[in-house]
Amino acid sequence: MADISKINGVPIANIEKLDAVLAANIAKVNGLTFAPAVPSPVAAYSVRLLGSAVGISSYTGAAMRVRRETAGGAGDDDEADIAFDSGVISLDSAISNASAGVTATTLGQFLNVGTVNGTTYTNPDSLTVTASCFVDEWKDQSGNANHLEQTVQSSQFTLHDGTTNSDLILKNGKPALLPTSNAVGFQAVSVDLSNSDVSEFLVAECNNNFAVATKYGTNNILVAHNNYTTGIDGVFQLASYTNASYYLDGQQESVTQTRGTTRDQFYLNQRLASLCNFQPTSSGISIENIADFFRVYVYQELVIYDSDQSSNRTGIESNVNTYFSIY
Amino acid sequence: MATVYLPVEPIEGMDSAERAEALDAEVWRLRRPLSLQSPQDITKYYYPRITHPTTGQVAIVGDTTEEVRISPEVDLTDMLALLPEVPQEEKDGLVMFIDANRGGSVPFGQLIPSTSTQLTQEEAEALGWLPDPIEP
Repeated sequence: MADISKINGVPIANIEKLDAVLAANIAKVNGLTFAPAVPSPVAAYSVRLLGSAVGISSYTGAAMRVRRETAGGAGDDDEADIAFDSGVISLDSAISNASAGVTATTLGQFLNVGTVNGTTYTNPDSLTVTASCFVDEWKDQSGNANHLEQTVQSSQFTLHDGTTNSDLILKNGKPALLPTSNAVGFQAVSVDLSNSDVSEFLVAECNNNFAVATKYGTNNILVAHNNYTTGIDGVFQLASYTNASYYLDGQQESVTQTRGTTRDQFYLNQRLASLCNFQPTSSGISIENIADFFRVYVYQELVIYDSDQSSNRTGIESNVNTYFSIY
Repeated sequence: MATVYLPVEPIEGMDSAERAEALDAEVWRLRRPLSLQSPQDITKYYYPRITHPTTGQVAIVGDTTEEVRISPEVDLTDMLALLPEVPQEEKDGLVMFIDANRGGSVPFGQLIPSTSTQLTQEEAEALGWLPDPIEP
């Protein structure tokens, strides 16, 4: 496919079917072998708009639902959905579905951020301060509506810290979700991944007090990229991982409960962690604080498949890394 | 920050989890009353809650020093209905205290009824509220 840009003047991207056969199902044409299409993930969360490279054909919904805090002033605790702006959330992201009385049309206005990167955002809601911004719902771009929610105000990730004339919280130049306490995370969503060969692609970072954890199921499956100083490093699981393979920034790591290089690699560094062919034994996905050893830190993207993506791993990693410039 | 664990007892018609959820929602409504909430609001609770691993009882995990903002439009009707064991005199005092602070804030610790069990982190650990840390 990479060698063919057009067929009879029609760009390949615009060809969905040939003689009623889905393009994604065509493995070969005249001896040319195509890479298999990435299947749709079961859940996909990101600060960017995800596309076909990770198996999402077309997502047109909101990126997140957020809440603003003004310390008791006007507009306190109002909420709004924020859209993608040119493929990523930004202060120019349009807002919709907002609380009553909100007249702001962009996130920058909704937060009354002032002037950022040469753009002055007006204050149509007459806030008396620049609002802090918290994520209470991270929308699932997979089309399965597995949105991650946090209904407790004190447990929500921060997207803007309320500093006037400042941008969203960024990590390596891209928006990021930042925890403000040990209790921050999202509540579990009900997704039955038991008896599936799960794959996960995660863009995140640890610091000295927070780890990054994705919890599968109620109590017995955990994939953690931990940096607790006296805790566990690398991938840690409480159930079978016999056939799983783990990669950090594209390099294979051992799937063990080791204290070693993985911690140093994750510590204060944005990383891409990929885990393929992992078999949870109970249902549900969450990103949460799980006892003292597992505390979430910066999150930017999490895509989960209910199938083994070992054969697509490098392609997905390449897409992620091209966008986030991690390694 | 002074973390406090508040195990919630069941009342008639509500088990511990249901009552804890309702009370937590009422704490949030001190700051954002139902009259200001919209149906699309995702945020509904003020503090996290934990479930005792063996008894199933639920506790609200609060912070006694945190200043809870009180909306000028606050309505305590539903909260008071969730506190049947609290003496009427104490309820009246709570109403007066909240009324006096509409538009301001009060420490969460001053909102906890005298009838509520309050546990420190150490006491909660000793009573088995916190699961053992996950270790390799």
